[in-house]
This record gives sequence, structure tokens and C-alpha cells, in this order.
Amino acid sequence: MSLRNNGRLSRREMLKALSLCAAGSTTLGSLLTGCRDSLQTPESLERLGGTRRARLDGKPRFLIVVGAAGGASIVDSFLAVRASEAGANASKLNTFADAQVQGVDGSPFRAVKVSSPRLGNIPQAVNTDQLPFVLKHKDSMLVATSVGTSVNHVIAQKRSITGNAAWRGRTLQECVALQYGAGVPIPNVNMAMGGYSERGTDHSLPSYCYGEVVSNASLWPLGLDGSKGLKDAPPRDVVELARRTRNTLDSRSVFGKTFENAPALQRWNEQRIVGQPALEARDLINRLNVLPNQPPTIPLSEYGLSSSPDGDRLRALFPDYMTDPVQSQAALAFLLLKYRVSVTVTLGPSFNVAVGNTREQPIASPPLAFDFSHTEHRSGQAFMWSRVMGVVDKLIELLKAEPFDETSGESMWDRTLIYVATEFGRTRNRPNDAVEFSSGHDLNNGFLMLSPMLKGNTVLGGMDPLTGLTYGFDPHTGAPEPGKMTTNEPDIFSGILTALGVDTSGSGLPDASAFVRT
Amino acid sequence: MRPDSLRVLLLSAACTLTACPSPTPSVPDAGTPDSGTPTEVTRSSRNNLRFKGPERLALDFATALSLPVEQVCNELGQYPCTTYVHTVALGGVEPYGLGFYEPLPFTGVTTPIAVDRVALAACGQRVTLDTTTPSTAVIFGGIGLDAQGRLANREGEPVKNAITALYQRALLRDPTEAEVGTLVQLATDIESSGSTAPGRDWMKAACFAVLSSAESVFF
Amino acid sequence: MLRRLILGAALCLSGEALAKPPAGNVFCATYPTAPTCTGQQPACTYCHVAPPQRNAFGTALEAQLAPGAPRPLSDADFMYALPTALRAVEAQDADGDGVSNLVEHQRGTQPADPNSVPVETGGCVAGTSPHNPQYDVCRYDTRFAYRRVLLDFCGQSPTYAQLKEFAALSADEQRSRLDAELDRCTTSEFWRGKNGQLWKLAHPKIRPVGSLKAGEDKGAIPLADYYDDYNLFAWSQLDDHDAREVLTAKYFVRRDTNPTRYSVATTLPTQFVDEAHRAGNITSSWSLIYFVMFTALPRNAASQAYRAYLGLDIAKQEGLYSIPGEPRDYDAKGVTAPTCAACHATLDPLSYPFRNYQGLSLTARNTSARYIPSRLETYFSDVAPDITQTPEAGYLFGKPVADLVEWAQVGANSDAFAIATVTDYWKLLIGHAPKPEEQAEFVSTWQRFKGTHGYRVQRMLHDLIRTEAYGAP
Repeated sequence: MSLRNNGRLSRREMLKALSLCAAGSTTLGSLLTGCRDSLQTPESLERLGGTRRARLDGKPRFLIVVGAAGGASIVDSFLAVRASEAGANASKLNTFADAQVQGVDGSPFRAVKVSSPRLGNIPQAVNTDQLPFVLKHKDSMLVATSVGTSVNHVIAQKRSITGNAAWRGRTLQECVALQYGAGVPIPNVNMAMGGYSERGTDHSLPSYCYGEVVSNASLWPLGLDGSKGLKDAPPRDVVELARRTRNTLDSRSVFGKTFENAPALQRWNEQRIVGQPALEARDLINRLNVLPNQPPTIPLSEYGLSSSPDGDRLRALFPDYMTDPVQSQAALAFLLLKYRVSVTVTLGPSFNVAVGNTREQPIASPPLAFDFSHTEHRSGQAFMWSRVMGVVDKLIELLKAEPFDETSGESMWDRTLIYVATEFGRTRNRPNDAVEFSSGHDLNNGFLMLSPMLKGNTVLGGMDPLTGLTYGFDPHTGAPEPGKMTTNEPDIFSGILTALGVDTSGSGLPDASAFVRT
Repeated sequence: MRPDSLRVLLLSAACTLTACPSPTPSVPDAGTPDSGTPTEVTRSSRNNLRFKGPERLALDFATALSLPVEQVCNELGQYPCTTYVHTVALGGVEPYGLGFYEPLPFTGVTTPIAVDRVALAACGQRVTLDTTTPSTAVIFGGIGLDAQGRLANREGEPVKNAITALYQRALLRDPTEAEVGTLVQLATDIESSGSTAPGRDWMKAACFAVLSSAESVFF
Repeated sequence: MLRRLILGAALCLSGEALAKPPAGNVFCATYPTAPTCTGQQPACTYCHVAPPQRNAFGTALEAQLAPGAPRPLSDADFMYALPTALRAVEAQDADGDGVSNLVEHQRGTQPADPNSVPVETGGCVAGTSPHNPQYDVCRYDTRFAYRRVLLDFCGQSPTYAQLKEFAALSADEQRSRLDAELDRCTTSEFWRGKNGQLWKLAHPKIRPVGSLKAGEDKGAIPLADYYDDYNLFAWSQLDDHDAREVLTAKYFVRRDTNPTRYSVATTLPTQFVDEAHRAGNITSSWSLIYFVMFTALPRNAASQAYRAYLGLDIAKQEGLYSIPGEPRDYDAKGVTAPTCAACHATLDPLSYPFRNYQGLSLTARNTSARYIPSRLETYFSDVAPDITQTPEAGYLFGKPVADLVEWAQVGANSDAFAIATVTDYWKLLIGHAPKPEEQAEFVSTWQRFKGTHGYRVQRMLHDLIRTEAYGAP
């Protein structure tokens, strides 16, 4: 009998372990690593890769993935093309009037300004300007050009986070959770849609590496404690006694013995014995709760609950958190990192409409998100980019203000990377000089990422203004390679992990040191 | 020391340090025979258990405790636990709003917490109903409490009947003697805790222990 | 030249070496009794992580594949060399799991996945004395199955008294009771009602978007009522109805409530395709508006139908049947590039029969979700010079089909449809896609579904609950 390689507990092992455990300590999180590591042999950890550096410095880095669903086009943002640069093709390609494409001194990035009386067929004005965002964040911005391998939304979403199975099919989030997540209760929280929320295909990772799916960010914290906030629940110590009794009965029962080797039951035991107490000890049902105490619809105090200490400022920053899922996701994402619940969080708009809260803005998010470009490309892209930049900007501000390490003076932002993942770009053609047109899916695009750990103010690759298509780069040196139009999904994947300090030895990933700030 | 033993010991040490839940002090080693439960049973080779998911959990808990299904659990008194707040955590889908078309293939770390909440909420209601209107009690009928709110007679028939009813209603079988003994012991442990209503708390705790057991939530 | 890299609505592979669509055929000709060849073919992932990246088995195979011959091999050379290469690596154990590649082929496990090994399940060691007071782990356990049937179809466990009564029945009576309970429970709201189990099966096929919903539960931008699709799907799965009609129905289905009842309707105010051109759910208003949407050549609609109803996901390199001379690239998306053609030689001819089905038109709303004989000529002539040359005839499973109606009929009558349908229920009721050790029962179930049962799901379910995969603990 042994603790299995998957780290799950058999009935007998659970009972033995339980019987040797003394009453629990209250200092949970920092020692959770030990609890989890005891479920792995050193050899199995070594085989998994991606763990050595964490053992050396012990300080986590954080990854936020923003799933820009529908195809966030890089030529409608930081690599936009002016009509005057496109020669004879200008009127038939997705180029902008020169005045709409603003340059930034000392920066390779561009910023687009769009004014449209309507958002496609939605009677809502679109007035967006990307310049303030670029001016503010250019030094932590890196754009890497890309060629993907699928224009199917779900497939391409998943490939944007696995580098098209670049490392045994693991997602970026799973890699980061493996590297830095052993000591936190839910290393990988995923609030996004479709392929952005799918598991990778490396089933050998410890179970805590896989994403915990959150469907409603505002209400989800209510599920972070088994008894708080329930009026008829007995006191906590009684609940603990009941749980121990239950676990003992479970492990001794004919059912428990018969199915002791069932993976579902082994996983369940691990989740109950290791995962659940680690969460409950942190009072996350309150600390992650953005909802205000607002009887009668949200009677927190009546149920012994409270709003997060950060609730007021987060509600001020994300005022539409009740109606706009992205706002509530962003607020929760910040709290998950701040309270070291997670080391990676994933968020993003879905294909559903989010209703706005003002007469001027009846729609907060159009149907199909960036894929609204099928209906109307230019205003759709402008609107959605504005939405993405808005939430990214707020997250950066929050993280900058949050100390990571008082002694070193590092902020949370200093150790965070935001990756704006998207499926693909959009077709570049348009009817003659049209400013309202539809677009399809195109493998050619580029990715935005932001972090102080990245080589900022940098475009890896480049843009051919005569076609509107991006070309590639050498992931090691960063040298642009005009004419290179081949897929580079593993380069992007590797670049993000390298910037995050993930140990990729043995992975076979390309050297992507060009992404990293030196 | 065998590697297996070493790893169990390591886990135990980690549990001690990190507050992995500890059992009742009286828990014997796994090898100790229980009266009424065979030490060894033939194991399943298929091991194909399935988690019940939100709808089946709600219906089974409701039936076991004779509660209307819509009253089993509501967060903040108004948001349904299984069909709204914890649906995805409990293995359900959210197709229309989130595009979450297929249930998660595995339980997540918040799944057992959601199960605990639903079970505790349901049990709390059942105990309140049984103790406030004993004449229509479903499970905890005839259980006397002493002046300190403790079970007047832990070894009495009403207590055993309640345990039997819980097992029959939630697990569709009779409890073994050992299982009855373990749940009676729970009453003693609760009396030693800080509970101000140990008898009522035992009812909730016993109900919760059975309803949220792995045997209850997997099939 | 760069125009070729503008790949709107294209699906391309990467690199110089691609998975070979003929590989499945050759493999199955070499190992005709392999479980993975029963009514289907191994997917590209049998040899690849994602083409061109080979997995451990593919790597071992590649070393034996016409060694020394210049790469890339032509399809003909590849087909000639593959059987020899397969034989050459039979005794090897590519994934190091202790099971040879040959045995993995024969037992239906994955030769590149060390976690996929033949498993002996059910049954107990002869001569031993199994003891388990609650579960008959050696064989089909009727008590275990009884609880499952009630939970799966009624949504709740039996009572203690019901279980006792069941246990007291004779073996024959227990089996009859299981059948009776299955029939009773499939009338429950849990099974057939709105958001019930049948609707859950339909979610990934219909892929609803709440904000675009018209009619009941209307969304912010109502475009189509996908409850019509759920209704037809549920109808086709219930009672003595033919499951194929989810693809072939010329009629619609309406739903009444309290209790839920489905009934046939010849017209619905929400559906617009004329009867002659209807093909069940793949020509519903929702399917056309959401999956065709604005595209001239609706590859997405074709691949979604292929995936949802025939179980073949081209994006995962499943169900590839390259048609010679394809793709023709009528919409000038660059799909003739070698990296794209591997999939588009199947996908494009699969999509041609959709050419006259209008998706969503914002400029001519009353043309949306309709069959329009000259759709491309009328509305999409400026998309590409050759777009109007797109034929309505296409190919499915490598065989020609005249139009979408024939496409749907061929699809509905295929092994793939039967396999996909039974796989849906296998996953729902057993909890996972059929495992190698369950292949014999699975194959028997879908073959009887297609043959004996005439595509009646209700009858197939009686078979399914009798399998050991379902009823052995």
C-alpha cells in the first residue's frame, strides 16, 4: 500500500494519517506546502519538472490571464496601421485614417482613437482612446506577434494557454500553480469561458494545480466555508467534531473500503482533508466577499457574515460588479492574489451580453465579445479593447498599491504578469474605405502582456503595413524576422513562463529569453 | 522504515503542523476490527463512482429529511444553493449565461464545502422542526434533553432510532453497532466542547455526518 | 503570396510534417479487429500530441517509416510504408507502461499513454471467497444498478423500503423491475423536462447564449429561440421515436408544461426553412443564425454538426476523409496552403451543402435563417472571385452528397451517429467515455441501437443499464 503518484489518499492511508494527526494548528497556509508535498515523492516531483526554483527562493510570482474572447485584433490596437503606410492597399485593408493612429514618443506602440455613433446595430456611441493606457503602461507592456493554428474559438482559446500542447499539454496556469502554488489553498482559479477554462491534458500533475472553476464571482465566496453564514449551524467546534466523526465512519464503512481505490473517492478525501481546512482557516467567506451588507437583498450581518475589508474600494473601482461579470471577476482576482489564496487567476468576458447601468451605455459588453466584429469590426474592437484595457489598468493600480514584501519594498505588481490571451486575429480586408465592416477569423495576430518582469516597451516581431499582417521574431534574441509567418505558439508559452521564473528544464520548450527584462 | 510508512508519517507530521483535520482521539488504527463491520471486504475493481451533482443531492437530502426541495438550502435565506449559488461547484452546468455546457469531470476543492453547507442547512431545519413540534418529528422524535440541554439518555432507544432513521433515509441501510457507537460517542464529545445546546447540536451534527458522508454523496 | 496567409475562417496545422489522414485507414487495415477500428478509426492523437508533434508511439513509428526516404513522404509512399513500420514496433513498449504496442492495439488502450493500460475489471479470482456484505463487486449487482437507475432517470435514490422490497425479488423479477423503473423514470421532469438530463445532453450541441435568446426567457438581443432545438432533441430521444430525426426531421416540436409534453408541429412562428430543405436541428433558426451567422461558406456550421451529432471533431483531427482535389478555396481564404489543406480537404466539401442556408443578415432581416437558392450569388458575390462557384454538392465520410438534406440522412444512418449517440449516454450514465475494457459492451450496445432497436434511445437504454460497466460496482 502506498500514497499514490497522483497524490491521493486511500482509505487506509487516510485513516492512518488521521490517527497520527494531533489537534490542528491555526497557522495553516504557509505550511500547506508540507501537507501537499507529503503526498508526492521527491522523485515524482522531480519528474513533473517546474519546481526547483520555487524551492530556492520560495517567493511566488503571479499570473493573471485575461481571456479576450472572440479575437482581440492587434491591428486594432498597438500595431495599428495608418492608411498612408499601406500604399495602394489602404482602402481595402483594415487601416485607419492617419489621425486615428497615435504614436508615442520612444515607444513602438500605437494607440487607436475611435468615435462611432453606434456599436454595430446597437444604438450606443463608442468613443474610445487607447493613448492614456499606452502612455501609462508602456514600460511594462510587451507585444509578441503570433500565428496560431486554429480559428475555432474553443480550440484556439485552449491553445492560447497551452501553446498548442507545448509542454505535455499543460496550461500556463497549471505550470504556475505547480511552480508556486503548493503553499496556497486554491492555486489556480478560473473564471473565464470555453477553452480558457479547460484543463490541460497532463493528468500527472498534483490535483491542486488544476483550475477551480468559478461561475459567479460575486457569490462564489459564499462557498468558501462549510458552516459560516448558516443560521441553524452548530458552533464551529461541533462542526469539526462532526466532520471527524464523519470521516472516520467513511473510512471504516463497507462503502469506503469497497471503493478505497476509486480515484473519485481518493480525490474527495484529499479535498476534504487538505484543501477544505486550508480554505476555512483563512476566513475567506468574508475576506473575499465584495458584496456589501445591504438588507434585505444582501443581509450579511443577519447571517453572521461581513463584507471584505477591501469591499468599499473595490466596489468604488468596479461599480458594476453586480451586473458586469468582468468587474466582479477582476475584484475577486485581486483579492485572491492579495490574500495568497491563488497564484494564478483567469478572467474575461463571455459571449453573453452584459447589460450596462446608464442610458448612454445600455450595453456593457456586446454579444460574442470581440467576435462581435462579425457584425461590426471597428467599433466592436474599439469597444472591447477599451473594456479590456480598463480592467487591466485597474488591476495594475490595485496590485501596485499592494505590498508584496515589506522588507524588499516589492509590490504585488512587481511579481505579477498579465497575459491578454485571445484566440486569433481578424481578417484584414474591408470594402473600399469602409469604416463599418465585418471581419472573420485570421490566424495572424499578436499578444499583449504586461509585467515589470517583462522586457517592457517592446514589440517582438513586427508589422508589414502593406498587408496588415504581423511577422515573427527570434524568441531567443528578440530579433525581428520579416517574412517569418510560421506558427509560434510554443514561443509565446515559453516566454510567459520564462518571465514568471518557472523552471522549464526538461520541457523541450524553446529558449524565449527575449521576453524577459534583464 | 518502509517508504510507505515514511510517507504516512510525513503526512501525519504535515497534518499536525498544518491543521489537517484530526480525528476523534479515540479513533483506532485501521487494523482494529469493528464489531458489525468486517475488517476486510472485497474491493471494487471498477471503482467507478460518480458524484451525485446538485439536482440529485438536493432531491436526496430533501427526501431523507422530509423537506421541500426548494427549502433544503438557500444562501442568505433567499439564493438557492444547488440551483444557483453553488451549481457549478456541485458539478452542475450553467449553459445560458456562462457557456458552461458540460459538468466538470472532477470534484473541486470547493465541492466538499458546498456539500457541507447544503447538508448543514438541511439538517438545521430538520432539527428545528423536530424539536419545536415533536408530535410531527421525522427523525429526532422522543429524544429527551436534560437541564443542561444534553441528551437525557444517550444509550436510549430514541437516540438509536434517530441514528437508524438517518442511515435508512440517507444511506438506505441500517447502521452497524459500531456506527451507532461512534455517533453516540459524538454526543459525549460535543458535551465536552463549548456547546451551549449539546443535545440539539448533536442532532445536527449526527445528521450532518451521515448526510455529507461519501457514501451519501457518491453513487 | 502573403494573401495565402490571410486565413479567415480557416483551420490549419503547423510545421512541415502533418498527420496523415490516410493513417487511420491503413492502421485499421493492418489491425482490423482492434477496438478502435470498430465503426471508427483512431484519431490523429494516436500518434501525435498535436500534429506535427509526435507522441512516444508516433516517434517510435516514425523511425521505422521508410527509413532513409526523403521527407515529407507522399500519401502513397506513406500508406505503403506504414504497415511495415507498425509491425516493426509491435514488440516495443513506446510509453514504457509494461504493455507492448501490439497488445495496446489489440486491447484498445493508448500506446503512447503510460496511464492507459489494459485493466481487468469485474469478476473475482477463481477459488477465492469474496466477501462484501453490501456490494457484489464480482459481477452485475442488481441492487447497485437499481439505485443507479433511480438516481439517473428519476433524480433521486429509492427509499429504504423500496430497496428492501427490491432485494427480496427473484433475479428475474429484479430485472423486470429495473426495466419498469427505467420506463417510469424517463417520464420524469428530471429526465425529460426543461433543463433536465436530456437537455443537458443537448447543451454542447446547441451551445445556447442566453443574451441572444428569443421567445421564452428572452435575452437582451433576441435573435432565435433555441428552445425549439432542445424540444426536437428531447423528442427524438424519447418514447419510441427515431433518434436520427434530430438530424432529418421535416417537422418541429413544441413543448407544453406541467407536466412536460412534447408534440410535433408542422410549422412554428420561429422557424423559417421550407420543408424540402429542412434537416432537423442543423437547419434550425438558432443553428443557422449562430453557427452560420455572417459567413459565406459556413465551415463552422458544418464542423459543429459533425462534432455535435456525429462525434467527430475536425479541430482535433478526427474524422478526416480527404477528398482529392480539395479544398478548392472558393472563398479565397488561403486554405490550399499545405498546412491548412490537411483538414480543409475534409472540412470544405463537408461545408458546401450549407452554401444556400442563410445565417444572420442585418441588412435583410427577413432572409435570416432561411434556405435561399442563390444565396451566395445574391448576398456574397463580393466575398471572393470564385465564391459563386461553390457547389451545393459536397462530401461526408468521403462519399458524395447532393445537398444538406442528403448530408443529414447519410450522417444519421452512419455508424458515427450511432456511436456518438451511445457515447453521449455512456458518459451521462456511466460517467466517462467508453474505456478500453468496456469496448465489448459498448460496441454491442451501439450496434444493437443501430440494428435491433432501429435507433430508439429508449430501447438502447434498457441495454445500457444491463451492462457490467453500468451495474457492476
